[in-house]
Amino acid sequence: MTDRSRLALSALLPGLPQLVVGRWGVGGLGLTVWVAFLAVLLTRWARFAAGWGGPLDHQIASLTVVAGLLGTWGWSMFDVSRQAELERSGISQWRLAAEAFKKNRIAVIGAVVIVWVYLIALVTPLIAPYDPAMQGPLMGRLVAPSGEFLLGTDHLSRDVFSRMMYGARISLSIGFVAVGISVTIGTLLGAMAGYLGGWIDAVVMRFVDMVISFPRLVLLIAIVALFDTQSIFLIMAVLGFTQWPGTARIVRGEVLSLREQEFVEATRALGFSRRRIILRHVIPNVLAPVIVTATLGIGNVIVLEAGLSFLGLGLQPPTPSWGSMVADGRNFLLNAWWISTFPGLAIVLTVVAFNLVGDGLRDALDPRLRA
Amino acid sequence: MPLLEVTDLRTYFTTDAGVARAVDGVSLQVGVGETLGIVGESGCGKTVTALSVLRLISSPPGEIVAGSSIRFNDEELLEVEPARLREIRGNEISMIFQEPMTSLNPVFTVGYQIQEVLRLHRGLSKREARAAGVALLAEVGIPEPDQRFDAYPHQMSGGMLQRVMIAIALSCEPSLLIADEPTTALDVTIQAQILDLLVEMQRVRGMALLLITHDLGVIAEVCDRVVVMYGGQIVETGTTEEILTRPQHPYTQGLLASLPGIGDRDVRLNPIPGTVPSAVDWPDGCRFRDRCSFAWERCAESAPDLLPVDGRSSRSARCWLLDPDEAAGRGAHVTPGEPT
Amino acid sequence: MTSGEPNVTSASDGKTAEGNGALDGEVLLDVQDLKKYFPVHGGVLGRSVAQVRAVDGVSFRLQRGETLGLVGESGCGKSTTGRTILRLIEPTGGRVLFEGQDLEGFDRAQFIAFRRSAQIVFQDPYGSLNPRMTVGSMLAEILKVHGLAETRVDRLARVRELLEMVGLHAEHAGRYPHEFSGGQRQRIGIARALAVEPKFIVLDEPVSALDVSVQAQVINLLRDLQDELGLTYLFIAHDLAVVEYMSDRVAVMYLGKIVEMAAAQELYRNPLHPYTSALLSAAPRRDPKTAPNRQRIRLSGDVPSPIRPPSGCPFYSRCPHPGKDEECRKALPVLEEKEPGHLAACCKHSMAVGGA
Repeated sequence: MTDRSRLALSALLPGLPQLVVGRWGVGGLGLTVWVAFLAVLLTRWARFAAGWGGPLDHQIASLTVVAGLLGTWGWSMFDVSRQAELERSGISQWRLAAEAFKKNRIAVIGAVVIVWVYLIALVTPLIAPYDPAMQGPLMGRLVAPSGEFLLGTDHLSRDVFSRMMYGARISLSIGFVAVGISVTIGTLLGAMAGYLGGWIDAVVMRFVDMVISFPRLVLLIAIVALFDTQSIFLIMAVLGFTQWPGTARIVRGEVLSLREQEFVEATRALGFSRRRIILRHVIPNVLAPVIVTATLGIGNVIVLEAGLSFLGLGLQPPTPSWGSMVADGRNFLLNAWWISTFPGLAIVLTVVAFNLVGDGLRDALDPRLRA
Repeated sequence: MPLLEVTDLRTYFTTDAGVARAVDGVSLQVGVGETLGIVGESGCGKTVTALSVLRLISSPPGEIVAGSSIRFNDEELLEVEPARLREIRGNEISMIFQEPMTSLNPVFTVGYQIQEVLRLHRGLSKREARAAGVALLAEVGIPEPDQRFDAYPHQMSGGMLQRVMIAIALSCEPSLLIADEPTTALDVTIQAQILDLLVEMQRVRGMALLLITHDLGVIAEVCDRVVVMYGGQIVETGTTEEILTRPQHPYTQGLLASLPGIGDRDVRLNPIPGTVPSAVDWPDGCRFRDRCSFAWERCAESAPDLLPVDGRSSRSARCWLLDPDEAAGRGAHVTPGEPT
Repeated sequence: MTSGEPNVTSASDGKTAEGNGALDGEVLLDVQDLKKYFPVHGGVLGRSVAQVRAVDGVSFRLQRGETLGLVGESGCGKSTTGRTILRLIEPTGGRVLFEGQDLEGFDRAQFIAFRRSAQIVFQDPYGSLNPRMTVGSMLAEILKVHGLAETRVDRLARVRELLEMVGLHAEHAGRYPHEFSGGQRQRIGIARALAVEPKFIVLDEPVSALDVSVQAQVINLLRDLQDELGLTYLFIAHDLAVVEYMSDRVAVMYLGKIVEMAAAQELYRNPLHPYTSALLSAAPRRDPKTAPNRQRIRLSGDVPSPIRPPSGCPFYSRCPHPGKDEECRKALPVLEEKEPGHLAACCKHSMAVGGA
């Protein structure tokens, strides 16, 4: 099959040329994602169209659908054109790690779960059956899971399923942003402390000690009380700014041992600036443990946020959060178990998926480095 | 009857890339009190051979393939019970390794580790074992042995630790000592001391020595007979003098020609081109043919067996050039491949 | 000190002449009494309680195009010497003059120029390359940082040229270090050093970690490159035969000091210092007729630690010289010319070396 016909096939149906050559995983994922987006577009046309004029997250959702469709097409075509070049080019450490990761079935399942959860969260405004804040008639209270309300309704007649989907958006975005903040700060500070040593190292490490010695949950509670708002940005910031020390320590350790490696000495012998050495040579080689820490960290943050919400310190109602949903359902555990259970299961499922992926990444990344 | 007789040993490893045939049909003998050297570069299978004798190969992924035979004192080591094997190890056959710094347990004193072996295999009491241990340390040339007995490995230098290793290995008076690159990690003056020590110990105790190394100079100093390994197989056998002065296999010749001897400044080195092929994918026919300047079509057709030189079985080389009929049919030779 | 002018040294130059060999030309590198001491921290407050005298007064001169071999056992300071000359480690004392100019006074621009002129090739082919960069991007980065090739096309061409110079192919540029063998990685390390077009290269045990058959290939390559590009080498190694083969002159180091220095063949035929004799005697010989029976000069004991070197001759404790006496123990011998072009730091006459 020539390249051109393969490109044409991608234009028709992304993922198809990959399936044809037997790359089930990649091809299957691409195709199902594309089909899913198309299904959303077709079945929720009205909402999609309306989304452009609506609130920000509706716009983002609509945009995501468009981006998803175009993206999968584009990826498929790019992948086809890239195959020939891949044959010739070298096999980087990342590629080796990806191969090793793919062999770990359980980790791959976790990764697929995460991908789907994120995609669903992104297009939630288009596909959620009901408005999560909408409180229905009294008749609709505490309805068990049924055809009309997939996961039942809660004590205020709100659809649990829709609320869970919106709750996913909260949890996942907080997880992502908080860990993004912590990993960036942690890597930069840890690399500087490890490579530059001296007083910089001492100062950074003392900060690390300080931040770590604060009990995190207590700190969060105190700050929320202090600011007297419960905005999502505040929570992201606090979680992010209290998580970086772990990453910093790990990165510093890696950098300390990396610094003695001869290829780093070679860059000094070549007269490279310290900035170039740290950014282009040292940090890429410490990313492996950082990625693992970040992945496991997202799971950690999700649980923390759920805990905060459970205590009522998370986002204000009616914004749904998995933790607050679990809290809401506390009083109804016996007669309306679905209110707490499903969000609880969602937390467990997501965090387990992140942990599986994190472990898989750790296994895939480390031994490969010894190739 | 030879003390150790290895026949058609095959040790294979299962890897992601396929089955690595690290040792692929090795046969050798070591007589009582004799020194046999196994020489070869990395990837030739010499260390795996040594580890196979004591069955120290980790069972996944490695495996000694059925059909191999390792007879020690007429006992088939591949069939003995685990308890008997443990009795043999450290007791009748001992082994010392390359890196003395990591071969000893860092959390125990040196003396404790000697004692452990003595008490296990000889059933000595703690006091008897200590006395014997101190005597051993003195015998291997460690000064102030009584104090050193209580020292930790990190307090001693590489040369000292290697002497300790030798002391532990000799403590139960084995009839065979396997030494895997015992001096490679040491400085040259220390290396000389350790080699002298090994030769001395061997002479005093009438012990056989199986010495594995990549250094032909070490072979020259210590060994009676030599086997040269390449590609998981033995490619040449003979006495030390024969191998060093009249090598028959192109690989051995290449090794000797590729390094400067002291005093040979003006001779241009003649390296063997190419690299050692992967054990997962040995070439068809003769495994050395891609790098051999004498190779011709016959070499690609089938792999030669170990052919006798001068009609003797103790002197052989794995090369078609030794078979007069084959050599006669040789046409233009093929020049080998790319540099490494 | 005039800069850049060729400095022709004659054999009769100076009381502590540095045994310049047959080459007669510009002095590229002048090392004067170089010292590097590392502090040993101990005690409650972590103060410096002792010093490791890794390099303890090393002096020599290198002429352009020459190869000086530096041999010694572990702990003698040869690697540290190489790195200190290149300023990868800051010296504790002494001076290094490169092309007649003292490195101490260099401003940033001069220092960068020095980095381009003086390079290093490391011992370990596995740790000396960044595992995350392709060979091509590593070389291209060097060209870019030093402005040696302006456009991308120029850089690609130059990268290809460098790879071919060390016996590799253009296709190798897209590969990662782990896809190469040890010998190939070492060639890449050499290409890296050549990328900045240096005049002087410190070769720190460049073949010690390689297999025998590959060592010879790399040695030939180094020699060919030297002839082709007019390079000057400081060849650090512990294998005496390889050092003799590669070097014009050889210096023997012990406990941070040079104990003997002479033209290569002269040193090996006529060692004047007992340590050199012992080293030569200890090296395994491949001649099976003489090997098993020859008389070896045995050194007792271990290589001592450079933390508290003795006040007299540093080699006193292990010296096998029959004439060793109190004078040896008290006085520190000076490295001086014993025979034309041949320096040694021993106060006795040369040992008769039996059967070496």
